[in-house]
Amino acid sequence: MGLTPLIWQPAPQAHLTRDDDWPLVDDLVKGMQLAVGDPERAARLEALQALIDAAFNP
Amino acid sequence: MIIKQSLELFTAILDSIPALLPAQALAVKGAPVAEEGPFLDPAAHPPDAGQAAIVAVIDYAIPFAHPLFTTSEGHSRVASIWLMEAARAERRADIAFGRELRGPQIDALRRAGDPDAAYRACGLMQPGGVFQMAHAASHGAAVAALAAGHDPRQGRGRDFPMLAVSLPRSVLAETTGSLSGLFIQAAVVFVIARARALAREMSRVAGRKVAPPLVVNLSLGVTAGADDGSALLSRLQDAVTKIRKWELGPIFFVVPTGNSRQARLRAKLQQGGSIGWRIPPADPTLNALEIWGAAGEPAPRLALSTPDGRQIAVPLDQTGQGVVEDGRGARLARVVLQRRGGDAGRACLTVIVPPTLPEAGKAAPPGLWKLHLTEAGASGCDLFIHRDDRLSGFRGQGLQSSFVHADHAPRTASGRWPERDSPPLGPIRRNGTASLHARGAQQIRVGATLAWPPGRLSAYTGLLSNGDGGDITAPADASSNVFGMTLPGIAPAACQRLSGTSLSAPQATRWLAEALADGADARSRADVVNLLAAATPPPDLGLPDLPWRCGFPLDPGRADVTRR
Repeated sequence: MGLTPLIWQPAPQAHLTRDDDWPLVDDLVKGMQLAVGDPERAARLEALQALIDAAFNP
Repeated sequence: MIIKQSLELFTAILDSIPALLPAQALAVKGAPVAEEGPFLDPAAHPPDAGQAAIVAVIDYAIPFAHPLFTTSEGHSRVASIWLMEAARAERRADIAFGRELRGPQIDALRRAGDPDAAYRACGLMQPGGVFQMAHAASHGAAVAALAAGHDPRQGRGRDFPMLAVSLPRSVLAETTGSLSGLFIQAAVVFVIARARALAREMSRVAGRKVAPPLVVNLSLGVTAGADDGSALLSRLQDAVTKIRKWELGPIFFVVPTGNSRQARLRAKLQQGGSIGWRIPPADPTLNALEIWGAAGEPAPRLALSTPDGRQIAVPLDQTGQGVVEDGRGARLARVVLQRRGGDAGRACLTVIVPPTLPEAGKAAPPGLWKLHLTEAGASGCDLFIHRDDRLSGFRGQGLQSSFVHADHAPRTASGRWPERDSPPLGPIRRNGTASLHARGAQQIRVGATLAWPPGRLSAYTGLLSNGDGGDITAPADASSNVFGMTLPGIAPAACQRLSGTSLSAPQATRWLAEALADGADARSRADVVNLLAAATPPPDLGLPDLPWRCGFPLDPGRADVTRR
């Protein structure tokens, strides 16, 4: 049985304009996201924003 | 501003927080709102707030109740610590997960017993749960002690109020370091917010306006990413360093240059060049590398060969992504081409190979892969392999992949580890192996040296692009064959022996904080380098003067040796 040739499968063009290392992060977090969504996500973002305000507001 | 932009870029990690943090750090129902108490007991404030410097440490498993971080009266010198994995026993509007403890709260928790009582009260010593403080030793214990640990019997420690952030175990256990970005970014923001508030409290207690300097130690690193200072963490730190209108004096970020000089993780290829990529077998973690073109130049074109000799040309000439599969649909690699920094920015080709340890019958082939750069801009391309290891104290390791090329000699003819690159240059480089967290314009980058012979670079010290071992160096090894230094552990009586540039950076933090508290005028990296050079050329800090014996050949415990 011989070796089959390698095949290139194009993937969707998501996030390609983003300016960070998302390709690796995407692979690392694959399967971590909750199927039903995170009910505390908005509250956590709000808290992070409050921290940013405390740090950088005059 | 960069910080607001960066939150948007961490969406994938934000979405994964419930999987990355223990449930106790997320639960909030029923928790009371925390009081806005003081940062330090009045007796723990600096005797002269005008001659003090705030020291911040961002690390893992920091023993905030250790005697080295207390005053002679037993009050905590830790003004505030964000324990990202601690149980949310109370709520604060700007703490998204875990718990913040302030100095008087630490005093109260420790009064209930020994330091362990404080760690248990925060849920950090739970068998079967979060147990980061149940170990005898930790990276954070060593780093924090070097940066700001003082003998509580002496008053000097009060000149250095501390801030700290203890990062989550899961993001540090991830071997490339790529998940830590959001948490480090949030930690930096926390440190700035609390340093400003602490400075206001110091002014109130002193009865006059003071602007204490802030020195932040970040002894963590990665081996791949933008090497031109455009990475988010570098940009944030540079932006913060430039701000002059706050309650604070000068702000410095001190980072290690990393430990990968001899690891063959960095290469340079011109068009038509080839290099081997050795991927070890039975590796439970993925392997990845990044190929960067120069700004404004065409994107590189890559051909990949698997260890069995099959080759494929990656058909990407503009931003896009895809997967290399074999004829049976098994995924062998994922390749993404980005243009970072806008249309005139740098092309970045990321190649990610799945683990070689079989799982559910699937595994990438281990062995010698080959990378062939069929097209590249006139400047060629810089190649960086992602690290695949963990901090000391973490069980299990990834297996590090590395570049292979016939022109690369790991050692000199006499068997020594080479230092900087020298002609003729092959593709594998030692210059430019410094951590990619250490590429900002104003960070103080610190390499490791031997205590004996003094000032000689440790073989592993990552090098800046010009071949230097850092802006500053400090000893982290006794000699070329006696590695490491003796350092405090988590428990008051525990000690550990560790090596690496992670230990050199906090020595520089300690030295810089002392110099600033004593009135040194430094506002930039150049000022700091000049400050040290004026005291002692070459720029090595020499033997540290620490409140414990560090295990070097001529320990500062002996009267004939002092820090130069």
